Amino acid sequence: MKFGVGYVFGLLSVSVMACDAPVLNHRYPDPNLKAQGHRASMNSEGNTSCPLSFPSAHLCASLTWDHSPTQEEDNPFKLRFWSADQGTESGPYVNPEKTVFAKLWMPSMGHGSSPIKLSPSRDSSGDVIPGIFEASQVYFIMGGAWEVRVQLRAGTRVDEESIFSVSL
Amino acid sequence: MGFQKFFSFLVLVFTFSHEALAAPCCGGGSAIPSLISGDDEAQVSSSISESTVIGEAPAGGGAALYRGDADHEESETLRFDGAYKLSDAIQIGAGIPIVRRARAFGDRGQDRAGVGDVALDVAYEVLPELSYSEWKPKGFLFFSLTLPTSPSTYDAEAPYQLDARGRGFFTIGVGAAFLKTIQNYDFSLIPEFHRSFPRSVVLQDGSDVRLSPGWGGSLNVGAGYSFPNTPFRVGLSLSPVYEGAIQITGDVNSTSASQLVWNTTLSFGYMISSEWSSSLSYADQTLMGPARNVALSRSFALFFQRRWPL
Repeated sequence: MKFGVGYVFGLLSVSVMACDAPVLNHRYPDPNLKAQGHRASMNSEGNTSCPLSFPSAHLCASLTWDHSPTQEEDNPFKLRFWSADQGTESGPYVNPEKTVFAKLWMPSMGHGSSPIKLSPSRDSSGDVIPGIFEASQVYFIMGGAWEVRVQLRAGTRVDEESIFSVSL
Repeated sequence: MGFQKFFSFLVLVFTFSHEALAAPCCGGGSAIPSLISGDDEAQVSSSISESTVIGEAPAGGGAALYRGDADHEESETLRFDGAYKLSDAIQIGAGIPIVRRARAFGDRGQDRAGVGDVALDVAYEVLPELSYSEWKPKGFLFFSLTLPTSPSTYDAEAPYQLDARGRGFFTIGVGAAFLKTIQNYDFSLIPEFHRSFPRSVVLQDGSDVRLSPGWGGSLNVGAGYSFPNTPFRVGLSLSPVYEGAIQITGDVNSTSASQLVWNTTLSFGYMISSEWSSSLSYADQTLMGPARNVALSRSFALFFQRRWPL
């Protein structure tokens, strides 16, 4: 009798756990969203006129992807900086006095990804375009909620940081 | 060797022919050592496993996000374990994995390989099986130390962090293993707790951070059946593995979510001789839930063990 009760209890417990099992409750990446070029949902902190805000430096910045972010390839993007007082998202763009730095971070997992390569944008003649930076080697190693942390650094010290959220 | 003793021997051999499987990069693995559970002086084990990542379980719960057909991530692990009895009750052991990780999208892919995290352990037989008992199990108490001998996600340089093969922390663990054979059936219960130590690290992107990991633990509950008059055994085990949140301070201030995954393992054992044994196992992290904040995988493993009697 005791064995029977234990057996039933065990079976019920396993059934409950199986109900929440990933094999019964999962989804796949939506191919339609990918076809429309909206593989990822994106938003940023701040308002529309200042998507990425750096109050101490009196700067705003925008982040634009070369293509919708995916796990499947490099996800290059551009950062554009303008004066919070005088510029707009369309320009004129200005170089921050501090060093611009960008990194990927996955808050839930507590880790990032391989380092992002960030370099000043150049025109066709090779001259540096002020206030525009190109990021490459941007790899999202798994699906979920990610952050692009854009930082202004003095040496290795982080002076200001603004976060762009990405959900894959 | 009588049947009863022979079945007990099979159980002892195959109960420890598993490993708690987890993605090699991201933790969620328990440190159950390869114990000498029979009347042997020493043993050497080797296993090769092939693991495929199926998808990710979200940190907040809900539907897991499975990967598309074109996205293929796999890892192969060749693992060597050794154990030696210092006395009737005390034994020491060590394990070293060699891990290859690969990620491919369609026909584009890359991989990295190298040594994983090395584990050392010592075990004490607290409940020896000196005479037959209907209820008393054979019991071990073990202590383990995992060394961060391989790059972790905090040290990785390669795209997709393919060079991350360990957790990146010194970890100590304590656990117990209880085994019981009743006729042709066998049962095992292996609770384990571990604690990882804080570490300061300069990430590959130059960020200076302090990592403070928390507690983790696992429970392995298994049962098996040994076919009469044959060297074959079939076993099934269920193992929830929990890993606490990691607090990050410094250039990045963030607290991760905790991780939970359930390993379901089906194994087929074959005892080649009294000194050699083998098993084939299938482990699946999608069959039981809930799972939280982990990469979910399915694995096949082939295991061989050589023992030297006392």
